[in-house]
Amino acid sequence: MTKIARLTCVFSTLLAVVAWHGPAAAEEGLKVEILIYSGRPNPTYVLKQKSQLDQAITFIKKGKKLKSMEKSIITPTLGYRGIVVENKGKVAGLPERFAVYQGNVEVMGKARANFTDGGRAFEKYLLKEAQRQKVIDLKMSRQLKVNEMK
Amino acid sequence: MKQRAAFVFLFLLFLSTRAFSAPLNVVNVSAPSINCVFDTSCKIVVSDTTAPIPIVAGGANFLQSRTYTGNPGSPANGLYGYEYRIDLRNAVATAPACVRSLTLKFGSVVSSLDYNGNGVTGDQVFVITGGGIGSIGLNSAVQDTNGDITFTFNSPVCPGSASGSGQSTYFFGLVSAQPPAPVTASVTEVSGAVLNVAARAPQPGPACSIPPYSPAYWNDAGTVQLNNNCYNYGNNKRTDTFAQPGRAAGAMYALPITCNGAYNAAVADGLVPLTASGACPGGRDKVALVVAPCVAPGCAAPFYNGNDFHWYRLGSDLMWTHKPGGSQATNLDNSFNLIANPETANRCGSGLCYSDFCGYLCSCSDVQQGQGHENIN
Repeated sequence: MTKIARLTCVFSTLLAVVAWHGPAAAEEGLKVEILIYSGRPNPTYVLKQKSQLDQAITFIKKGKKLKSMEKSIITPTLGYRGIVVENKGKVAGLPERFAVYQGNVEVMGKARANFTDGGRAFEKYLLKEAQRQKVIDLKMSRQLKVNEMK
Repeated sequence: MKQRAAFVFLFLLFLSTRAFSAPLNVVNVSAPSINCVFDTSCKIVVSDTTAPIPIVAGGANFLQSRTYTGNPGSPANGLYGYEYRIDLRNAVATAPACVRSLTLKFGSVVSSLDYNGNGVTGDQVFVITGGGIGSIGLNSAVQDTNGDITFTFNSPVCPGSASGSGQSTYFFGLVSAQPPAPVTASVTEVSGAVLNVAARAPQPGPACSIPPYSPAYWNDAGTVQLNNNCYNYGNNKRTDTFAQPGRAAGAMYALPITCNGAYNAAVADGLVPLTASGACPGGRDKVALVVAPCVAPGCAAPFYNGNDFHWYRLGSDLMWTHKPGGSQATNLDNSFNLIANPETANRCGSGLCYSDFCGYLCSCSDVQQGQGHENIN
């Protein structure tokens, strides 16, 4: 490898690190909202640890691209209707805003696209985190899993 | 089961009596401490007008209308105080010509203030029984669905047999968000005779009208949709604050949410109670409240999981529509059926069920989407 090539490689790596651990990402991370209430504000929490963000990226990468759906996976019904993740920290490798529900991931906004969430693994992970961060209690977490994830 | 049915019946009966006339919460206060509600230094500048009451009596008598504004920093900042007094002290009558009540069109009464300083808001009418003129207070103050308030005195107000020996009421007052305008009040004598008298009362509020179902305004997948919930949609008012019943009036519901708690909070915001079969007067829109009750042991502090409220609104096509939280506005229930009756609509979803039907209210809405006139936040 030439000197220039080595420098380019190091510089690219540095850029990637800055993009990954940039100030915005560290401060804001991913805002996760459990869509369940109508009147009260929904339970929300933030994922910002590197391991959590890595996990989220892994779930997204595992998803298989689906034919874009005409209707959103988030239906306007009462009760639990999915999870919306907002990429507040502009974390690389993740869409700006996406929904996770019933085995699907929907990239929201203009660049709309649909992916699979095999075994509802991402959704389960996000609900488990909601419980771990104490925005919903164990009973609610179990209730949602019992009702929705057989 | 029978007990529950009896409770529901009694609750609906309670609502039905409130729909036609609602008693206002009257408290006794003293001057000048009442002024502290309107000014941080407890000094107010008043505007007084008087008009003669055409009772059959000699001498002078009058209805006094007194208005003033709530000053910055005070609890009533930006609001308008209204006080009234019937003075027959110098009226002279040989035959009985006593006054029983006063009725005037007032409109929406501010219910978020604490006039008697007991630490509890929700006072609606105050009577200055200490430190002021008069000797006769109020037996009741009752408002009908047209906004007319009848103040009934706790004893007849009578002229005297000589000048200076007649009676006067205390000043009694209330507060509105609307500035004053001339009105014609009605004074009712004990005999039943009704006499018209010039007075001042709040200007009429904005015209109410019923909105069509037009979901595109709400379903923008952005600011409007995500920041306006069922209470915003029900009142057809965009605030971008995920409005909560009672928050604008300083009388928000407490957790866990109950039918009574959410219903009363909406009334504090200015919505008017209505029976199931009732039609809203004055072009107001009929809205319905439901609650997903807090059911132990799953629902407990601090999360109160599964406990929530939800609103439906009646459209100009006489069908009901709603907006579940930050989701899209829709005309379908949870079974994806059109909603002809919110009481029988499917209101149960995964994780929670809005099984308690709380009743109906009237909201001052507008044909333009997002432009309702209720004071919610």
